[in-house]
Amino acid sequence: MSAVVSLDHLGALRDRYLEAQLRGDRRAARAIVFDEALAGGVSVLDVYEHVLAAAQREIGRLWQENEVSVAEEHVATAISNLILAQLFEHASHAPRNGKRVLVACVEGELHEFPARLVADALDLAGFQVVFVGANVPTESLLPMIEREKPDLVALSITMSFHAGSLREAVAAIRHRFGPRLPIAAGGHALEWGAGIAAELGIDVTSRSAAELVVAMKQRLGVDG
Amino acid sequence: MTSAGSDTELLRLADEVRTHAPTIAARVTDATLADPFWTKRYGARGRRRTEEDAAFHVEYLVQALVARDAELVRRYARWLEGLLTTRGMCTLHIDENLARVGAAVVNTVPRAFAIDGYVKAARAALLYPGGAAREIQSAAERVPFALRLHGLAIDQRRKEPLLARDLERIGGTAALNAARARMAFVPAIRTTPAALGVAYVLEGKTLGARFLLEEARARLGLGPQHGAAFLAGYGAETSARWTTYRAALEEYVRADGCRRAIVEAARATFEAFTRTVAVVPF
Repeated sequence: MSAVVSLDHLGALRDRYLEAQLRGDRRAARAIVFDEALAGGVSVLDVYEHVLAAAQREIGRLWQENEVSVAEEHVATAISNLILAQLFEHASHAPRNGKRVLVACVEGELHEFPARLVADALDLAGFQVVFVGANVPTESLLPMIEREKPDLVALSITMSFHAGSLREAVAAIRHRFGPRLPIAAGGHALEWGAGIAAELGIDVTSRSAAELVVAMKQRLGVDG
Repeated sequence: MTSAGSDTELLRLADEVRTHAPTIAARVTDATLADPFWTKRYGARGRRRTEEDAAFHVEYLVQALVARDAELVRRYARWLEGLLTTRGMCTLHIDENLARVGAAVVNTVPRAFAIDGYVKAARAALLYPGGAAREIQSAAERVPFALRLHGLAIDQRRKEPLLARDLERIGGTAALNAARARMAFVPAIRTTPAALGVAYVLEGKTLGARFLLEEARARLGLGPQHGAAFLAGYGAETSARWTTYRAALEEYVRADGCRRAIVEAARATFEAFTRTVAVVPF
């Protein structure tokens, strides 16, 4: 987090961004992120974590509590996807560090946004990223890994309902590629079932994109 | 939470439960829809929703079983509570549903009995940890029964004060305390059928005690104000009160069934009486 930006300020930005999302106001959401947050010295990684991801989490809670409908949630998430793409254009990209990472949601997992955000964060940090997206069947993931030859596979899982898919994917990747290929896992499901990452011998876990970037650099021996 | 068996066995068991998930969901749905409330409330959608929800519950329970992690279902239960109580269901419905799912899993795949521990963990997570919320939650299960029995003026039918008065008059505080110490436990009254079953024995005794009162008067010199308040019961109103009770009982059985639960509670109460009397030295 930037030294000059307080959590209170980030919280206020998140609240206003969320309001814009729920109004379906793309321009207002964009203005809050670019003209206020970034122009005010907030880093892109902080916007990711404290504005976009935080707002998406809150939308999940509002849906749970029957405050917003599925359709409203989709409108809001589409806005975050748009902002994410614009941030990717706007942000400065670190030079390539020579490592390839494949990012995918486990089979059945439809919550794509967290994986997309992580993919972008890794790319900005210098990794070459293959982003496969939502609901990737394990049998289709394996040939993709074969072809792309990543240095690490990152699996995203939001709902614990899909923990069986995560188990299956990890077992299949280990079986096919052995322990040489490190696996990262992240997402809300790991907060609910903290034991699963250790049980499956996941190599890298983290609670935020920024943390993941640092952990992956360490794991893959990348400087900085 | 621990479960026996290796990981491979657990995974095989999990797959077996998943294979039977449609049967389990159907069983849960049949049991749920036996209560006309759901069809009245949600119409034909009710069946589909109940089946979907049951399938979700089964999967989360299986996840917990495989991960040996009760925290997962605790989180799930609390999440469900937030999700469903804002959509017209109440915590009790979720609790009942989880219990039904657990029973259906174990009935369908008996080897998966360890699921039961996770069902209990999930249900326990629905209880408020303490304070006023927990007090209200605990009291809530007694509300319907209290409302139903309102017509029976249950407060005017309590027997314990009468017995206490008799014992004190006959044997002083020592006798009262000794009797209280020996009192066998009557069944916990948490439901209307249980209350009606317990009341059956108490009200029936009150009715029959009219004859004992005559004996106690003739042989021991006791009277309503002199050690036989319990036997005197409601005095001149005894017959009328029995009639009111019997009418309430019959109406309840006609409307709600539950005959077996009433009989069980009555039998347990009768046994508690017998055990209590058996240890009182005469």
